[in-house]
Amino acid sequence: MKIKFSAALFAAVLWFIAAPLAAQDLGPQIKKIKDGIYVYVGKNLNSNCGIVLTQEGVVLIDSGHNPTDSRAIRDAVKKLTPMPVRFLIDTEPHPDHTTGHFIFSPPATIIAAAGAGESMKARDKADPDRNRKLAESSPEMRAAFEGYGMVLPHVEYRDKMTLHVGERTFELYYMKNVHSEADSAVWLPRERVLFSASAIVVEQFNIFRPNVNIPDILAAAKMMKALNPEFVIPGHGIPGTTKIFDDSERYYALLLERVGKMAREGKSLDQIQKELKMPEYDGWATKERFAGNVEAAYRAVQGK
Amino acid sequence: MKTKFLLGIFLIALGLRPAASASAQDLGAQFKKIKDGIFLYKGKGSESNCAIILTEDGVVLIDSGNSPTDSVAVMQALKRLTDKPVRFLINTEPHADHTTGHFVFSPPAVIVAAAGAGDSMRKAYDAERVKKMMADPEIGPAAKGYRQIVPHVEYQDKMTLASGERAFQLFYLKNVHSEADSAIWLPKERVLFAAASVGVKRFNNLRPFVSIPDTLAAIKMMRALGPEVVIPGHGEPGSVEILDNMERYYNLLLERVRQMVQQGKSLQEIKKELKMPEYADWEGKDRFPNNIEAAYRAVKAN
Repeated sequence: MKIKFSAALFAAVLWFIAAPLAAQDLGPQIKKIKDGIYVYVGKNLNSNCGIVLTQEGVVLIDSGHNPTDSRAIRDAVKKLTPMPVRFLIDTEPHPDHTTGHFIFSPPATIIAAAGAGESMKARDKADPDRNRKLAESSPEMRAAFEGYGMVLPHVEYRDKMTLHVGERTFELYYMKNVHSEADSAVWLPRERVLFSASAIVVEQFNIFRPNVNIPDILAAAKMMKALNPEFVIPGHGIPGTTKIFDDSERYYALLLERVGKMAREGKSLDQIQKELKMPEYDGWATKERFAGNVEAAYRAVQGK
Repeated sequence: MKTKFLLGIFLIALGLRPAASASAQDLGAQFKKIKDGIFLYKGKGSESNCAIILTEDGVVLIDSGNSPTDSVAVMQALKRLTDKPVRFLINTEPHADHTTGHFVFSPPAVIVAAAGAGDSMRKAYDAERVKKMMADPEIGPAAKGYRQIVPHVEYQDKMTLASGERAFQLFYLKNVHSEADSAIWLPKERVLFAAASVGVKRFNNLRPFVSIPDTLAAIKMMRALGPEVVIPGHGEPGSVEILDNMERYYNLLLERVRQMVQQGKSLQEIKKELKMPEYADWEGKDRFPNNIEAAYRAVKAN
């Protein structure tokens, strides 16, 4: 009886301590955005993961860059609440956002834009050794991969959907041609917090695959800015405000202007890629993607 | 070592064992087996249907039964079919005779519906009706613990749901019955849940926003899927014949109302004079006048 009582007391004390944890206690990667809303900010521009607590359980936005991140996120969630992760919303299907699904699902229901499952399967087929190589990169990574299986989204929506969990509402917007085959912006209208996916990146050049184009990125930025968010959490990079969109818009406007001018001067794409300099953005990361940015701008000014 | 091996075999066998060890008859008079792992709780009389679909990842329900007594009967049946939890509950519509029983299954079930379903449920919430339900000697015990649970996921236009080995395609049906109707299509199994867009030998209640042309478009879309089994929101399951019959009825109704409009007859006159002896055996005759109104709206719109 006495032991039982002590155990109960111990559990109660534990719960009491666990509940009001400050973001610092959760590790250096976790940043508190608002009450019950945290972001695990990826190291060195690795992908971010949003942790949103509700009365009916936890909702995650993405699952961390690598399984080591996913496990750190799971540990942080356990410190924040005894409730399960009920939903996991993917902002995109690429492995740096989705490899960690298996850590959370089951029981989490995974939600993504239409085409996400197909994209995940196609990537896995194209590069079947990716996870094995990643697991071999360190003993920690190998341990974090234990129990790995590819878990595809359960729910795939088109265009728009709403998720209600406890007292919170999440609006999902499909964004076309901004980064992957299935990008979602996730908007919490009451909290005015926006997860802007990889449509817009912070102080780095975005990667332009053949399906991605600048006009659609600018349209997505305009749509997201119109939501009037207080906090903007990009897929990669430090969370901020709508300044993230302003910076990106300014960059693309300048890029389009310069590429347009050179194209009108009769320069070929090759020449433009060689000659065009944007010294204003010397501080941005992933410079190897700049040539792809110039090509996308060239496509846009040609109306393609 | 050997014990471990045998234990392994036993566990594998346990996993492979057909979960559906109870047959449909064992489950009670209301249950029908549609296909392997797909069972229907056929509503009593013209009450709403509820389907139980077993998947490797858990159970998917289509609707939750006409009232909490039905929901509890469904819950008891599915416990005999599988030890897995109900993971998803898809609403074909938000009306109370499909959604009151949500609380029996959620949590843990994630409830999925077309956009507008939650608003429709909240607007229709009637504290008096709930009080009466709780006090009802038959329904009251089953309704214990009732609270209104609105859908978690609201999609627009179209979505897909994957649970274990099964895929579900959800199609929003506009203006066919409620504010948020969904057809649910299992492409591999060729089973279609047609919601209350169609009735079986029964006149549908056509509210002022319901459109016969939209309903005919929905029927055409659903038939194009090529279903083997069609399960309406209410009434006996069947084949595409259910869709064909409803289409024939609406086309005939439109034709007759159009003729009378061309003869210069008023809506009131049409309501008095129009007879459809072909459908003398259909139920829900009190709804025939609003069927005429809907046909009149459609004819006048052209």
